[in-house]
Amino acid sequence: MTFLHLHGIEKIYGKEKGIKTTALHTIDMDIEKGEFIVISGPSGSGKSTLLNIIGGLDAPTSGEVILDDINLTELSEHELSKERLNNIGFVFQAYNLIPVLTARENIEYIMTLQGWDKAKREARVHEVAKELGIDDLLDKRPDQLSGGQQQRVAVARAVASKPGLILADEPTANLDSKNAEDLMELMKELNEKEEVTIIFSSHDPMVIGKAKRSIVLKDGRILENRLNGH
Amino acid sequence: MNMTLKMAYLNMWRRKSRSLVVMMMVAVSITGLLLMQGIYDGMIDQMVDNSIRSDSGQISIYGKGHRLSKSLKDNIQDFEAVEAVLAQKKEIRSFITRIKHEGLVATARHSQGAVFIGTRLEDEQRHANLSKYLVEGEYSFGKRGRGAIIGNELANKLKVKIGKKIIITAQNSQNELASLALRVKGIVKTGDMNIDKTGVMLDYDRLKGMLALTDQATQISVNLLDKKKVDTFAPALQEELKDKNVEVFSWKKLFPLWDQMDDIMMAFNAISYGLVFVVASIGIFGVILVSVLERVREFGIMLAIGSSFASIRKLIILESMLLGLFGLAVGMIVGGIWLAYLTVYGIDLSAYSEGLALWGVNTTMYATIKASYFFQAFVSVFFATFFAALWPIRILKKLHPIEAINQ
Repeated sequence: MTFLHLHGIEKIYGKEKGIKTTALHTIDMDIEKGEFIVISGPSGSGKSTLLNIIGGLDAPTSGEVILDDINLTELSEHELSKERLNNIGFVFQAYNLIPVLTARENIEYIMTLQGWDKAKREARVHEVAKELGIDDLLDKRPDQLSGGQQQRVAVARAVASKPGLILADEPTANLDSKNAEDLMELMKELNEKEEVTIIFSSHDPMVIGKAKRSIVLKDGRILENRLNGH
Repeated sequence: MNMTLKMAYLNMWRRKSRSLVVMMMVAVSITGLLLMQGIYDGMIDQMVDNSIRSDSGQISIYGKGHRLSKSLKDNIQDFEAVEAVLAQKKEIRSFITRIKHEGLVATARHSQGAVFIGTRLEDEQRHANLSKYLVEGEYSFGKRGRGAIIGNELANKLKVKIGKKIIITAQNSQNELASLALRVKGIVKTGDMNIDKTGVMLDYDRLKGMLALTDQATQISVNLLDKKKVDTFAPALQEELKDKNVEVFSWKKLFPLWDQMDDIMMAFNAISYGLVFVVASIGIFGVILVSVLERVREFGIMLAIGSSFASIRKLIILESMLLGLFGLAVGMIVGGIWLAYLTVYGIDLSAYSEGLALWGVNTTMYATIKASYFFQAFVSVFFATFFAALWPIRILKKLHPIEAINQ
């Protein structure tokens, strides 16, 4: 059953100013629930733009994004915000934790916005922190954590509220190879254990090799869409 | 603690010195405002109190037309009937009946226009605590009632001392000149210019005899248990005494200037609070604006991961309010302590005593302290913090999460 359906996605920048730059050309894609997909390609190929459109952070110039039977392109800003809160988790290249909150509070943040009660939040934080090996870092603030640790907290934040989809834009770009490999292993485990669909972008061959499916973009077009052999 | 409130609190301390400067600015403004208000109110209260305490009271009753004519013919004719009505009133704390008449006071070398006040000292004590203002001599008219207590400035002009003789002369009710020799027993400094400059107080019956009066009085001074009720009580009393041929005046009618000072104070307060509002708004606005512009990316991330704009707006308003309210709290504590101190110990202005005396202000100026000062300060800062946050919020509202994240 198709979990995420992209149909005729096109993104053109600067259209209103008359200097058109086409970032994505008519992208069609179907993704099943529980997939672990990498979108790869050189810089400027449209990886981030595609992830932003899938996540409802950016609107396509034309085309449709249907996530779990909801057409994101028809939603208002407010509805998109609710959809992101409830169904999509984000992991960013620069971790982007809230600096004044502890790791525990960062992980709890989305659950708090969703209205989870305290006991459930705490239980879930411990569960996810244990899975990601950060249970001894929960009371530290982001500036007391290494890059790898911060990115694990960011993954925990994204996964804790049990969204159907996690989008990670070059999550390992700021990590050394050891941390990058560890993070990918953890994300893979989460994908299997939590049955969450994960789409991430990268141009690191090691990272790309961890994905079950690989979609290669070039100049805003899908160059390749293949299953990796594991 | 609510997470948004916690974030607002922690964000406030991300730039400690910047936040502290704004808090100090608000705190100093509020302290200054409270002090200004308390001291000014205290000064007005003191001027009013000095004017009414030893003379009019909160309400004065005169015979009809007496205030303009000053004639003995316009005295209160049946003052005992008026006293009987007053004695029934639960709202009245005390009242005193006096005879007052203008005339001349003289010594062997000097003479001076004066107001003679026939009174009973025990009643004055109960009604106006007059002995407290005795600066020389004794609080007495002497064993045979031939003494007088006079105002300190009058004593200076006449160059009389305790025990010296004075002669008072006036036209009596028979239109004849009448005189009386008295010995100065005491000198008072009441703060009321009329008494201090021209007042000669003597025994009620002695003045009554000198002026050849029968059962008459010039003035009945009334004090209420609750002075705030004067505006409603005075007209009601006038209505009740309408068949007694008297006029009832509240102190506000007798001293319209002091009443106007209250109005001036209200306008002054409104301007002061307006200034605090503007100062607090500008200070907090600057800090919040810079803080928001520095954290655009952070807000973008929050929007991206699902925070609604409303929750970010709430966060910014809370940060602004915390900044203002911390400053307000410090200002209120410091200002409150100062005011409390000044209500007890006052400010010593004895170096300016002569100038102040012209205005009926004592040389020690006491402040007042009212809950309304703090409430007004709170409202002013509360709205200032709210308005200070609006423009930074407007800037954020225009930002798209992606644009914010990419900054």
